[in-house]
Amino acid sequence: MNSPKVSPGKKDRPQVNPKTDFNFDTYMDAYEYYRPGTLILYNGVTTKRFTIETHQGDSEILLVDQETVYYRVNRAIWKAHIGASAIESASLVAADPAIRDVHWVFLGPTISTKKP
Amino acid sequence: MLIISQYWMRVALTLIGALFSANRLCADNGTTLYAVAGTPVDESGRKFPAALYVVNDHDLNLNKVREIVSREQGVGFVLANQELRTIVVGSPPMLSTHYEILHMDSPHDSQSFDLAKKGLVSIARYLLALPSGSTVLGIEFGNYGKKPYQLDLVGVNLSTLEQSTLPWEDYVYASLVGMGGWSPPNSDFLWVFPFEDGRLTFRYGMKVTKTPWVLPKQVQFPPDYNLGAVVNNLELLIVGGGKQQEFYKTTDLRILDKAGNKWHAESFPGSSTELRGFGHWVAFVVRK
Repeated sequence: MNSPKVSPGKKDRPQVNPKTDFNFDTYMDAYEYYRPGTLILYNGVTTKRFTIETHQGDSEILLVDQETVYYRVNRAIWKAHIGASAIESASLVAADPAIRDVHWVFLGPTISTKKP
Repeated sequence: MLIISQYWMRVALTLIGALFSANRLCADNGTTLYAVAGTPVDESGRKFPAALYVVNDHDLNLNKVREIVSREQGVGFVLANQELRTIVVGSPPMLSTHYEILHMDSPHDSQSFDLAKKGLVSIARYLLALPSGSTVLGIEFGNYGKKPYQLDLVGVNLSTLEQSTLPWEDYVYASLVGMGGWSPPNSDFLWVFPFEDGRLTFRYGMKVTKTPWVLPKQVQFPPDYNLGAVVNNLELLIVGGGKQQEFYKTTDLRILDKAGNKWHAESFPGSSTELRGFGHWVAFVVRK
């Protein structure tokens, strides 16, 4: 059996113990999957497509809220504006080791998160 | 003297109350980003916890709001539905019996229930948006591997937690969001069979639910394809198709724009690409 192709960005991914934590690379190897770090956003009404190249295999789109897309790249969450012809004005929303296990986000009631 | 003390006490309490309210909840219709971390698995050997976080705007870190499922329990599935503003997290993996409910508009409150049926196991779960306005968790129970085959659909109202037996016809109200976060196969997915005239039915075992949607001839799949509904929300219905064992390795889709009643046939790169629906948007992670 050929060794599976390694998804980009492995050096930036924490190589945690797969018995106690979810390990992206162990999972991808076990199923012989490969993720190139390509995210696609498709408008089901206009059929327009947009592509986000993250160069990180462990990436996913977490939420689309009106014209804003939120996506995870390894241990960071980004947001960007869905423009007329491209995804634009990407900005960092959060960066935290716990984000590698985040697969769902939502906008909820505003609370102050300022530390005392 | 007593009157003055009471006055200042009232002022102090009012100020404390105002500060507390401002700190906890400034109702400006949801601009705080919450995140749910957890990895569902469809095996009993490994268990991972689930937790709710809130993004701290000041240092861009995550602040933990609460644990949803402990490491000992382990996450079995997560259904996160933006349209219904509801997240259901089941545990333990494989045959979940415990259900945690999170309402996106009041994420600091928690609600949960346990549900098991003697001799039956929970096979699949769906969020149903019933015409009455209720959001119901439909749980399929079956006597897997035994004869005669028995299949029950139990509905739990997620506001009142009242349980009832649901008619199979209610499958038509299943609100499907697709694959997210390493979803185990068969989660949030319904088998689809088209009639000769292209009318689609949702099926499980011998149970059939007619849907209002008809796949036009020009976008029908070849007859030897297996079909499944992967997204069904207010704006889109997405049906995927593939040959027998190849089913999970296809990204050939038929997408219905419900408002315009228009079908599109689309192919996306990757042999086993994951997709999720958000209103009229579809998000793909290319996977080969």
